[in-house]
Amino acid sequence: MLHSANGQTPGYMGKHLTIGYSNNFFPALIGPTAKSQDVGINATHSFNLEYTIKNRTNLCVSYQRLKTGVDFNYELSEEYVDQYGSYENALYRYRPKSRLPSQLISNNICLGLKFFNSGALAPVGKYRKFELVLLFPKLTYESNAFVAETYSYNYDTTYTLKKNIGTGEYSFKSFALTYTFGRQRVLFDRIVLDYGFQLGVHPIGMLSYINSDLEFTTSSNVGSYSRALTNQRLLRYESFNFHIGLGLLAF
Amino acid sequence: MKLFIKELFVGLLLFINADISFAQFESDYTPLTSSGSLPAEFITTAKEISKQEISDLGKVTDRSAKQQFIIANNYFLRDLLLSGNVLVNDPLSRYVNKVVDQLLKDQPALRQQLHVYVTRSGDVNAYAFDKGFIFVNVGLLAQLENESQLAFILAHEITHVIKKHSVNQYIENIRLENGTSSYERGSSEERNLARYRFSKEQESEADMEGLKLMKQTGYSIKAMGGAFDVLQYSYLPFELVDFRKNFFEDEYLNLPDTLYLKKSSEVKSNDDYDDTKSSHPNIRKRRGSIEPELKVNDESSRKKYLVSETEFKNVREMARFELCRVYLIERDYVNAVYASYILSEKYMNNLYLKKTISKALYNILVNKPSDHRSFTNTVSIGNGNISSKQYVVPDYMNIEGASQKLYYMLGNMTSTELNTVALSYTYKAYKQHAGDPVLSALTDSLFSVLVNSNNLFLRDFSSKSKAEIKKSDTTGKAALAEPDQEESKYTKIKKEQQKTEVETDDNFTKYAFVGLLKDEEFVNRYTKMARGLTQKPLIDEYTNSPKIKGKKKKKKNSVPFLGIDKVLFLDPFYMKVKNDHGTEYVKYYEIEEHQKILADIQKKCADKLKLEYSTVTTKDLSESDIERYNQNAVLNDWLGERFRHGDNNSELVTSSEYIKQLIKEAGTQYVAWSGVYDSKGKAHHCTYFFILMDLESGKLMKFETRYVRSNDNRDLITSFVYNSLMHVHKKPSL
Repeated sequence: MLHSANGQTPGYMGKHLTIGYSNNFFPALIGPTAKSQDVGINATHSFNLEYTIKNRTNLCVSYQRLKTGVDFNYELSEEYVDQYGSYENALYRYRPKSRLPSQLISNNICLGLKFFNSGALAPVGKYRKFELVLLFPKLTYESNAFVAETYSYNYDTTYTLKKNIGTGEYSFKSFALTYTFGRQRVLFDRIVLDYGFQLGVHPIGMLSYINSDLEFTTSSNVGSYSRALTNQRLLRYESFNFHIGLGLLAF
Repeated sequence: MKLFIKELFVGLLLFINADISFAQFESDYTPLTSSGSLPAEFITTAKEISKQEISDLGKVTDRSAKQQFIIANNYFLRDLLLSGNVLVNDPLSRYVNKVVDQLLKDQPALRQQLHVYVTRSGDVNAYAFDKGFIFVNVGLLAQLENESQLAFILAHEITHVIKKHSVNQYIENIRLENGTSSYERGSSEERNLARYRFSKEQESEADMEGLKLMKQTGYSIKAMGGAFDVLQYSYLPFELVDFRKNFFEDEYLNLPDTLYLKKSSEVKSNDDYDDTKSSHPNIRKRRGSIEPELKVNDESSRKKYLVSETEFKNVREMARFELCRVYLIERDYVNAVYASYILSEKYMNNLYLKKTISKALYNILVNKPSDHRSFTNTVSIGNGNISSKQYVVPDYMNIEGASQKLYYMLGNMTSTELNTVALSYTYKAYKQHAGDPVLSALTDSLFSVLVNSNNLFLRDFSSKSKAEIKKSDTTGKAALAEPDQEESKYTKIKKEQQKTEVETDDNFTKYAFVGLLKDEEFVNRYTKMARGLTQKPLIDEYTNSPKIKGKKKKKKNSVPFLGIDKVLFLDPFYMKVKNDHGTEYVKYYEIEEHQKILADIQKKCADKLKLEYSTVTTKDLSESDIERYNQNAVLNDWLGERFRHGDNNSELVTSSEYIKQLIKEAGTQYVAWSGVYDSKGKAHHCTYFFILMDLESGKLMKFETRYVRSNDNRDLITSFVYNSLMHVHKKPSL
């Protein structure tokens, strides 16, 4: 199909394949970044292959890698028996030695189609891109870093409870749909400059929000908790992004 | 003594003839082309000239307006100079310059500033630019009565130059817009009226000053007075000669009286028309204001001709010949026929005139709704189409003077009738000038329309004249007188019908070819056409071919590949406009640069595609490039005319016959023209077009337009150009 498409479409001066790198980025306004709890920039690195299959259509395949932080705080609660034998609730906080938030790394595969605006010819001009992002996230955390503090009945004694929770690593599979509107230019007949803005929908993350999956979580279901946490983080991550990339017209 | 008288008589006759006709026009006429070396103004870019002139301006009032004027003026002037319509070192320009020499004999410095050219335009007009450029149209030269009239018109234009009327008008317009003018500061209507009034004042001044200049020369003041008559009656052909229908008739082709106006309408031109919204005062006012000044004491010593009467008449004749072609190019077909008819009275055997008439008739014919099928002049090829306004013979009621009869005749003829007349005329001309390829091709095309559009075949034409039929009818009656022979009812009906036909004039077409049907070649060509052997039916080019039952329509590739190996690139078109709150500003400086960029992109893409090309450009002309200048003129003519026609037949294009040499030199018959229109207002809008024409067949091979809401980035344009050229070069898949 590509062969016949190649014959019909001009590409850019006969070149149809673009190999490139792009970055999707947005201020981490809600979640932490991989290195800090403070506001920073979340970035997704993307290595792209684009092939012009029609006058106004590019087929896009890319490998993406993102790394960000996930906040375990407040969320994990569990009942325990205090020294008087009564049952209490302890809120385990994540206090890793590295002082970094739990790490979410996702290796994504994207398949998409880029439609250039009427009148333009791929790969130059304004475009809209629709992409299916297959997410393969892995959440890693220090499993022995969960600490709960309890107090004596007269508040003069503090008891520190430590707990190993989960395996320290959870992998999931998920997906997102993205829509990008941007513009591509070709500089010096060889270099492709691509910039735009991306909107994304991560349906499982949305469902997780709707179902309030993070409430009433206990250590026994940390797997589903981590999944929900990851999905919700990914939802925020994929929702809005600026996009800039450089590519090389290969052949 | 007898011999002496005879010789004197012959000499006198020759002398008279020399005055009214020129031997050089007897057999043919070659359209004017430029020659010699190109003047500096054709070589320098508008940007260079503008920058120089702006730096020379110094500190002046209205500097900004003057700067704008300089830039706009220079770009307009350069476009005009390179349009191909301006003639350089041709007999007409040389003569007009000689008249200017006479006018400015005592002012050599001023003479040196002036550049006077003749332009190939049918408008009866001359115009000047402040920089010293004066252009005289062929249409004006064709109408003049004497050299003195031309001198006055040139003197008028020289005054415009001396007084810098154009720039003053430009500045006044800006002042009117800004409300700083000494004229009215009112509504838009009032401002317009003030604009006209200012212009009229300038024209009156040019008349008066022009007359003063005339008085300083030896030109007849009395004779120049007729210049206003020339202007008043400029809408009429250059001569009023009664049109006789027998021009198209022969022994057998007899046009009915119903197609012939017995009397043409009078010329009713009013010289006191309302000039409120005119840039010039009306003729009566102009005439009235200079009339008191026309009296000079030395009129008797003054002359109508200071250069040469013979040269004037020769130049005027050339202008008239040239005008026939201009009329064709401008799609003024009836005037083309009429002008050629007037000249044919003098030059009966002139091939050029016959070709002009044939082409004009053919053009009128293909634009006439067919008696059997109707069609429109729209062509769809590739991803675009070009359509042109269909030509309709102007209503004869709106025509004054002797040419009205021709308008009446051509307007009232049906397609079949006109087809018959045009074919008869063209074929006879072809026989007279045997081997002329243009007349031969036109004959075939006329056969094609006859067969494919009007559904007329050999059987529809009588090979016997009316007289012969009448005669045989009498013989038949005599035979019937014999008692043994009986006539059936049906034979009687047919005979009766034939008798009515013979006795009426209405069906003159049936008997039009009686003479021609005796010509073997005529019959053979007609038969071949009827069998569809000579050429593809013309009508198929612009009608939807009928659906054939049982055959599935093959899926068409929307953008076909053409498999062309070499093209001829023309200078690209480029326009950059900035829209500022509804006012459009042309970015003149950027235009020239972008034109060059687009030309480079074309070459780069062609190289990449291994598409061979040659170029006809006027952007880097040197003094010795007159050949290239002429090539560009021919191409511009051809393209301009071709686009006005909007259909796929080279026979419609007047300039086709002059383009053959160019095809040979370029090594290709395909000419590519592209362009970009970029406008920036609230948003950027960019329109790109690409046109590929087959110069040989006249066929539009490719017409592509692309519109994007974006600026005209180099990469965007490159992708467009590459796509266009890829479709041109790539071989079609079988």
